[in-house]
This record gives sequence, C-alpha cells and structure tokens, in this order.
Amino acid sequence: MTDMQRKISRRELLKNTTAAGLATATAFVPMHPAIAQQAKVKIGLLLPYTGTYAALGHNITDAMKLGLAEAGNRLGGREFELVQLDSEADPAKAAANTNKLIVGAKVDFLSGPVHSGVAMAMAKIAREEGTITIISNAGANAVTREMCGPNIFRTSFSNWQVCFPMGTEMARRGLKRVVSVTWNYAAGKEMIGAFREGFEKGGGAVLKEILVPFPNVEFQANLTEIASLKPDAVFAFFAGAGAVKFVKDYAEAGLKARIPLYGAGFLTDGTLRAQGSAAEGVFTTLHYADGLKAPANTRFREAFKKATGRDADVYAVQGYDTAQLLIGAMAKVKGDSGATKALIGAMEQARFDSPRGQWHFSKSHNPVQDVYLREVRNGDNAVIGVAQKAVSDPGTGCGTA
Amino acid sequence: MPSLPRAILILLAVATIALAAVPFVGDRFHVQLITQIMVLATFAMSLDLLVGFTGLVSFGHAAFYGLGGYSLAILTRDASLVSMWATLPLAIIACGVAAAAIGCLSIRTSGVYFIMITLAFAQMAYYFFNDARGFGGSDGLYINAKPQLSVAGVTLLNLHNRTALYYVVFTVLVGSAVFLWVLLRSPFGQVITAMRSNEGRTRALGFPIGRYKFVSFCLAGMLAGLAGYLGAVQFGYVNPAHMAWRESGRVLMVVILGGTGTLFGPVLGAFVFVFLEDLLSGLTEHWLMIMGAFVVAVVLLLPNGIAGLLLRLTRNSSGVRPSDDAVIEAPRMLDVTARSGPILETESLTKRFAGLVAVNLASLRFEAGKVHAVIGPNGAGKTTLINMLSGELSPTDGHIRYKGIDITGRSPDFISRLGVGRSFQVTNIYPSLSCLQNCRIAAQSRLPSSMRFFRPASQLAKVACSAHFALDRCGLAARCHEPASALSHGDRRKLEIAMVLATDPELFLLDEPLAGMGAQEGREILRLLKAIARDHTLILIEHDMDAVFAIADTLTVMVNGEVIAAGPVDQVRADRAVQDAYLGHRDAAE
Amino acid sequence: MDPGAIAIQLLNGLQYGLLLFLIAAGLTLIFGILGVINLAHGSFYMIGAYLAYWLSEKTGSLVLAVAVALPASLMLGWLVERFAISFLYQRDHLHQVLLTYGLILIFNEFQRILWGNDVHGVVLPTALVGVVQLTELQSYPVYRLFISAVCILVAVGMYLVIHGTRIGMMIRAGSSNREMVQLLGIDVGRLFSIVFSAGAALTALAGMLAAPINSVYPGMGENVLIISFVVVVIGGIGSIKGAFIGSMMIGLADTFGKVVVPELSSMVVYALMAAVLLWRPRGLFGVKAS
Repeated sequence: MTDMQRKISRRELLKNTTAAGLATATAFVPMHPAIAQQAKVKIGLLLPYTGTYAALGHNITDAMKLGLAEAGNRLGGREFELVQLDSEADPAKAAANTNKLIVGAKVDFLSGPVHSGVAMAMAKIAREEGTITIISNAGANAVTREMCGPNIFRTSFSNWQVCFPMGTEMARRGLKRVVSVTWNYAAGKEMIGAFREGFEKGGGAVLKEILVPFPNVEFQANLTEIASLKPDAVFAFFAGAGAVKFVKDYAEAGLKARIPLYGAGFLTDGTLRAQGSAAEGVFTTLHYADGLKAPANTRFREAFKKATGRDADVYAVQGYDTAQLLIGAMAKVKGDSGATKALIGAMEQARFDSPRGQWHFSKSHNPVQDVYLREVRNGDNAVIGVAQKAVSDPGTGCGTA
Repeated sequence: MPSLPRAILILLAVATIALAAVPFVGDRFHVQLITQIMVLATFAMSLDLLVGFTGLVSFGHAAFYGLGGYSLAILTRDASLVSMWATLPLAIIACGVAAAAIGCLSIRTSGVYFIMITLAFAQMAYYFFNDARGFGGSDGLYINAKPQLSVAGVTLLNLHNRTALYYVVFTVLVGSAVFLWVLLRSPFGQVITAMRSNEGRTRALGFPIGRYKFVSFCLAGMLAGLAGYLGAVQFGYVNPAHMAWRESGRVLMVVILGGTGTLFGPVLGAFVFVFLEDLLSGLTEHWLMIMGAFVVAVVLLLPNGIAGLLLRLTRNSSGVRPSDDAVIEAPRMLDVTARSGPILETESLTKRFAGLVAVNLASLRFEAGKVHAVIGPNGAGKTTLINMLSGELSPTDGHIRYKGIDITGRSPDFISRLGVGRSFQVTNIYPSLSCLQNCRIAAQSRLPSSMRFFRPASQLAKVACSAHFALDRCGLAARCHEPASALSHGDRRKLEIAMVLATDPELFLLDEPLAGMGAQEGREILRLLKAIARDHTLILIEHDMDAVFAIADTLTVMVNGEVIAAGPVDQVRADRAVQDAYLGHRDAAE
Repeated sequence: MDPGAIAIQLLNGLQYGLLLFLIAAGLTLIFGILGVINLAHGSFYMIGAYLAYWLSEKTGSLVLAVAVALPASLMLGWLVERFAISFLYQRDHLHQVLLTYGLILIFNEFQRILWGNDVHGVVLPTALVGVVQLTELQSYPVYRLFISAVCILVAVGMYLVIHGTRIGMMIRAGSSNREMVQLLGIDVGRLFSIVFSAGAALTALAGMLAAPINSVYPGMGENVLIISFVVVVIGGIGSIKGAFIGSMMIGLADTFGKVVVPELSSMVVYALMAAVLLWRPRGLFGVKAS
C-alpha cells in the first residue's frame, strides 16, 4: 500500500496513526489501479486534529471515511482522496489554511471546521472561489444567513436552531425566571440569544445573562451568583472541558437538586463519561441523541464502533451525513465534479435518512431537522421527546433564501 | 549595525530579484503563499526593531498587527471609504496612537516585566475586540471592499488583484527593510543599538533612554500595523485571534529562529517557518512534535538563528571591511580658561538605604578648574556620593547645585547634558562596538537631539570630529576600528575616558580610574588624567594615595558616610583627625 | 450583594488563589533562582492531571495515584532540567522562551499519543465527596476545602523549608542574588536540579489536585500558563511571598470581577497586572536585578 499512498501525496495526506485511521485509510486507497484513469476527486478537510477540539475533528473525519467506505469508496464512480489539514481551531490561521486547500491543493470540495471563527474565514474565501463547501460542525448563524452563498452548505446545525426550541420548551414547562450562562464568545452569545428569543416568546423572563471569559473554566463565582439569584432554572451552553467542569461544579455546589439545569445539547454530548453522576437529570436539546431509536442510528453506531473502537456522537453523525451528501450529489452528476450548478442543484434536493432522523436543506442551505429534548439518565442522553419538529433556521438576510 | 559580508549581500540581492519574479513564474497558490510570508516577514522585522535592536522583548506585538487589520475592517465596513490614501494612513495612525499609549506605560518596566506588561495590554486588546459588541466578537469581521489606490479618478491599483497585492506587499517589505536599515545607521538608530548593548552607559552619556525606547516602540507598532493592514487585505478577514498571545509568540519565534538583530534574519525566519509548517502539517497527525523538536534543535545548535549560521559561514571567507569614515577635520579647541568659583556644591546631602546611612549631611564645594579627590576606606560612601552627583541615585535629603542650577534628584542623562561626565568603577563601554563607534555615540549625545532618522550617523562631521579628537587625546587613534572587546584592560579604561571626553564635559566624575590597573597602565592613565585636568574640572575617587597626591588639588575624606575633612591637599594631610582616622592607618597598613 | 454572598465569593476567590499559588510557587522559584523563563511549566500541570487520571483509573484510588505520580513528576522534572534546561543557563532569555515553547509542543503530542483527545473526569475519593451547607441555597464542596487545606499546608511547608533548612538558605540567597550563590561555593548544578524538579512536582501536584474538579483535557496546560506568569510577575520574580500575595490578588480579582464588572471580567486580571507594574515596575516583592 505504501507506494500508492506516497503517490496520493505524501505532503497533503494526513496519515492517521490510530488503528482506526489506518483501517479506513487503507480502505480508500485502491488496490487495483486499473480504473485510476481519471483524476481523483479531491475533498479538503479543514478540521482540528490537535489541541482542545481534536476529538471532534477525528470523529467527523472517521465518520466521513466510514460513510465513503460504505459507498464502495467511489464518488460518482470516481476515486477520491481526502486532503486533511489541521486547523488547530485557530481563526488567525484559518484564511491561510483555507487558501492552501482551495488554491494550493485545488480541492473539488471543502469541508470542516469545528470553530465558528474558522468557519467565517472559510466561508468568505469559499464564496469568492466558488468551491462547494460543506460545513460539518461550526454553528455560526451568519454562515447560513447574511454570509450564505449558493456553494455553501451546512450539515450540522445553526446555533439558533438548537437553542430556540429549548426556550419554548422551558416556557411550556411553566418556568418563569431563568438565568443563562455561557462563555463570552460569538457561539455562546448566539446560543443564549436564541434561547432567550424562544423563552420570552413563551412568556418567560431571563433574569440575567452571565458571560464567562473564554476559555476560563473557573465557575465558582458565577455559581454563587446563580444561587443568590434563586432562578427557577438555569440554561447553560458550554462544550468540551468547560461543559464537564460546569456540570460537575454545578452539582458539587449543590445547585442541581434545587435549580434544574437545562442546556444546549453540547453540554452533555461526548462528555458524559467525564461528568459521571453530576450530569444525571440535566435536560438538553440537540438535533441528535445517542439513544435515538431509528434503524439508521443503530446501524451507524455499530459500524462506527467497529471501524474506530469509539462510540459515535453528534459530531460523527454530522461527518457521516457530509459523506452522504457528497455521495448522493456526485452520483447524480455521474462523477463530474466540475458541474458545479448541477451539483448544487442535487445537494439542494437531497433528502437524508440520517442517524439523527429525516432531514433536508432549507433555502439558505441549513438543515431542516427535528430537535430532540434529552435527559441524562444512567449516563446516557435519553430522548424524552421532540422539542420541536422540523426546525428551520430563519435564514435572515440570506440572498439565496 | 555591522556591515554584512559580501556573500550575504549577494544572496539578499538575488533573493529580492527572485521574489520580484515570482508572479511571472509561480502558480496562483505560491503567489498567495509568498504574499502571506512577506506580510509575516514585515511584521517580524518590526518586532526585530524592538527585540534585536532596542532590547525590548515585546510579547504583545500582535496587538498592533491585529489593530491594523481591524482599523481597515472598521473603516471599510459600509464600503464608502475604500481609498488606500485614506485607510492606510488612518490604520497606521491608529496603531501609532495605541503604541504611544501602551508604550508610555510599558517602558517604565524592563526585562521580563516588560515582556509581561506588553502581554497584558495585548490581552486586553484581544478581549476588547472579542467581547465588545459591534466588532464581530470571536467570529471576526469581513473586509468586503478591498482598498484601491487612485489618482484623479483613475484606479492605479486595486488590491483585489492578487498580482497587484503581491507587488504592494513586496514593495512594503523591501521598503520596510530599507527604512529600518537607514534608521539603524541614523543617529537615532545608533542610540537604540547602543542602549541595547549597555543601557546604563547610554543614560550616563546623556541620552534620555525612555524617549528613545518610546519612539522605537511607536515605530515598531506602526510598522506592525502596516503588516496587519496588508494581512487583512489579503484574505479580507480579521479576527481577535490575530491579537492573541499565540500570535505574538509565533512572530517572536520567527524572529528568534531567523536571528535577532539582523533584519534579514526575521525575513528568512518567516520563509523557513511558514514553509516548515506547510511541509510538516501534511506529514503526520503529530506534526507539532516534529515542529517542537525542530525548535529545540535550533536553540541548542544555532544560538543565533539562521542568520547567525549564515554570518558564521560567510564571515570566514570575506572578512569584515571597516566602514569608511568621515574625514577628520581640525579639532575644535576646548575652552581652557579655568573658571573660578564653585562648579558643584552640595548641601547637607544625605542618602539612606533601608536604615543604613551611606552618606550623612555632606556639604561640599568643588572649585572649577581643579582636581578634587575623594578618599576614604571601603564603605565610606564615596561611590554613593558620586552616584548622587551623577544622578544614578536620588538623595534622601539635601541639595546638589551644578553651576548654580539645582540638579538634586535629576536623571543621569539630564545631568550629563549639563556637562557632567562620569566613568564607572567597573569599566562601562559598549564591548561589541568599535572604539570609534563607542566615541561617536558619546559625541552624538551633544547634538541638540539624536531623534534624527534618515541621515547616516557616520556622516555627522561634528560627531566624527569630536570622537576622533577624544580617541586621539587618549592615545587610541590607531586602534579606532578595533572592537572595544579586543582592548586590554587599561585601554578599555582609556576608551571610557575618551567616551566621556567626547561628550565634551566641563566636570568629570571618575570612580576609581586606577582600580585594577597594572603599574604601567596606571601611570599611563594618570598621565592622561593630568592632561585632561588642564581644561576640565575633575572629581575622582581613588584608593591609590600616591596617585592622589600626584594629581589632586583638594582632598575630601569620608569615613562611614561622614565627611571628616575637606580642603587643599596639604591642609588635609596635616589634619590630625584625618591622620588618626585614615592616613595614619594607611601608613601602618602598608 | 448581601454580606453572606460576599463572604462566599471571598471563599471562592481565596480557594482559586490557593490553587494558583501551588502552580506559581514553582514557577517563581525556577524563574528567580535558575533565571529561566519556563514556558513548559503549564505542561507539568497537564502531566500531573493526566497522571492522576490514568493512575486512578488503573489503581482505582486517587490517593494511590498521587503517591505514584508525585515522585514520577519529580523524576520528569529532573530529566527535563538535565537534558534541556541546563543548556540554557548562560543563554539569553529569548532562547529559553524558544526552547521551552518547543517542549510544550513535544509534551502536548506525547499526551495525545498516550492518552488521546478526549475529556476525562477523575473520580473523587469517597471520603471527600459531599458538601458543607452554608446557607439555604449555598453550599460548598468538601473537596474544594480539602484542596485549600493542602495548598495551605504546602505553603507552610515551603515557608519552613525556605526559612529553616540549609537548602532553603541557598534558595533564599539564590533568589535575591544569583551570582552570590555561585561565589559561596555551593554546588549550583545540584541546587538548580533540586529547585527545578521541586517546582515541576509542585505544579504537577496542582494538576493532580485540580483534576477531579477541573477535568482533564488536551491543552489544559496552556490555559494555566499565562495566568501563573501573571501571578509571578505581580508578586515579583523569585519571591515566594510575592507569589502567595499575587495569587490571592488574582483569585479575588477574577472572582469579584466576574460578579461586579461582568462585561470587563476577561480583562480584570491583566488590568490588575498592568496597574501593579506601573506602580511597582518590579512587582510587589521583586528584588532589584543586577
């Protein structure tokens, strides 16, 4: 295999050293180069492979590889290669990195990133260059609103989308006075803004919006403040290490028993093992839940576990759906990756039977999808209902809408 | 800045031509990549002005880079103002103002504290743009209208065009290099370089070093802002992350990797760093480990960076040519008429250190045109006294008047400019500079201002003249192009005296000029001092009594911080108290 | 804020400050005595946390994990000093910054290779689970009080060592005048080794103690690095007392900043440092450099 792999591009292809990476990497390197007449389709991935968000980057990538492998490692009958680039989740490097993939590696498709700031830079350049770009995580509202573009799709979520339903749900539950808490950065502000919109619509009032300096994880002062405000409930958005710390501190401070904790799904996704019992009883909304009882989900989770040895999560699902989007559209144009118009048309028409349920694109290219209400029970995000069916981001300010 | 070996000059010329040719031969990606590198190189050079030449290690330089970009983003937000004529100067002014504000607060600190205070201000700028509403927060801002350069309605340059942008950035890079090169040869540049090499000496020569650091900080900030402006133009996107400490650290890495204090080093550093990142990040998932190992290896194996390696390789073959100097003009005659009346007076001068009284109520009169020796056993407070007279120490109490002007507690540079020069107990020179350069810096301090940025300092005839004259008087004329570090101990002391002479002082303070000299060296220095005494007032501390009696007109005797006697030599020698307390002991001891 | 809330916030601030002290104490000693700017200091914090996580998973006991991890990190500190830092004593600060930055990258990748990218939690010893009820709604976790107690013990222990032993005398001499130690004929190499290893181990201990409440994640070292430098600089380089006062100030400023001026809270600690340096350019208890 090594000869072939070197040919693909020693420089651009990130060789995974994990067992999972190797397994899938071998899977997409063709063993019989007989059909390799046409140039390969290039898919650029700009994701964090190092640093705090590395786990997300790897899950998205590995799920994409899984999806592509299931489709016989062909896109519209053509071979392809993944050009992986470490984004380091650093917006300062994002523009240069995007440029490297689009102009340098001349990728046909671009996908990524995790960080919203990186997504903003990526969307800007992708719009100018016209490369079809699939955002596989970052939720910045603007990407499918004022900054939307015909060649930009998002297979994940918008920040608004996952939090607005929680606002209406909490109001429905009769909660009146709520404190929201998040990091002081764009994604956090968008999340609690959407929550507030939904909550106030339902007649609730947000007592206070607490913004914690990013990426500070010292929450004790804020918890004391929350306790003295005596709200009916708390709505929180944190992710990764911050989520673990906040949920544990919240429980430790004895608040969980008195003031129920609600949040955006990322508060308890991929972090439950680290949070342990502290997360029990936390309510969250998200467009996915591990325990969704859909055949597509069960099948996907088993396959992902088999391929990587890890449990799938929402990020993996987003990566998997990104692969499905590519497979479907490329099949429609019979592998002609230059037929941008036709590809965009095919993508807009795409219907997904995804592990997360049925979904399709809105006019502004954001998923129209169900948002589930989940409760942590026995160390699992158990689905207790649908907070809102077929949630569609308003797409305000999008020219294509 | 020492002149570069020919091989490196040729290398740089070839590299410049190659860069100019890139858009003709390179593909689109490499044109963009090199644009990006040249922006980083300009940014790195601006930091080198601080780190490598001024001796200020800033860990917050990215704040100015980011601010340059943000200025553009904010100015062009409603796309009404896209002229480069307006946006570029405004962006640079904004950075200049910010640098002035941060600079005037930061330069009070030094060393690691300076590193940290610049970090603090940069982090505050980062959080300001990250938190404040209206600047796009952590998602950043787009620049949708790229600036244009037009004259009378004709668009000359549209930075949307990548080739145009390439050449603008190229011009800025070359222009910045030339600007900095000129700057470093100017009187201003000579001062900051000297300051980096020996701050205390520079202050004692009469330079207000704070002001020089401040100007350097502002210039570097504005240049960084220019780089930031271009960086923002290139990708049309700014983000607070451009101001974060990681970016400041990154550019610092580029400068150190390339070689500080060389200007071309940081440019090479930028190329190597970016190409290395480009190469490694595609190689393996654990590319940062290789990057780390590379960085460690560079530190251990190439202490002066890539530029240091190149210099080492080329120096052997070509050797350093001495730079050509201005013709020596006839020395200006010094005012040799001896003054009468006190040139310096102190009144109840007292210095206490945490309970210990170093100098107590010293009231002294030093007549002009004489040689005054201050003697006393170790710990008598002699050096403390001199340090107060020269402004290195601020008195706890009392007054000092120089020619009737109260100079109590004034800064060393102020006192020096009034005409008080001093030498130190431990010879205090610029070891890395040549003898002539040492004296030139000193002579330059007598210019009305060294805040001159363009004309080479070596062309200042008056300065060269004073410098040569001073070297000549001290018998170092033949060695004027040798580096000071190559001199013998005695010659270094002579050089220091020459430096002080070059500042054209009226009053000369000397702290143990004969300390550590061999017998022959001591005699030479003594002869030199006698010659100088013909047209200067001297106050000297000395332990060598034979020397003191050979040269001094008056004696001041200090014991335990008290002045126990002062007056003409013979009178003090005859003083019983002095004999008992000091001279007697000396005779007994020797 | 009512007096009760203020009192609790005070407690929060002091507790955070104590943890910072444990990290900053090692840093300030290394800084003051070895004269080395050690950017890799945060990596020891991360390594401590990961060792606590890994060993407590293996052994099932945090106490046992700490007992094994502490000597291990002492050893690691010794190795790093011997094979990297010791080459830098005669060098410019800039080289130290560059080299220790390189070490950060290397340590981070080792962490990823050994322990992966996931966020991990560490289970508390059962004896330390529980809360102290302060008011009807406010309670305080026992473990946080325990951490504070350990930090105070370490601080007192350091005070005793520094003021009551021969090595402490050398440390004191070294932090006020480095040249002096060399002149006194003390084996400087050994002193430096000891100080560096001890500083590394203290920081690793902070990581271990914080692991159960902070969780363990990639890149955690960098987050504490800058803040501990802030503490050291406020207190004055080389001063243990300064590090203690500095960490208390930062702990309180951060805590009250979040509550009193939430919109400026991210800048509070940096503004405090800038203000201190403007007032005293060498920090609160900094010694005059030669």
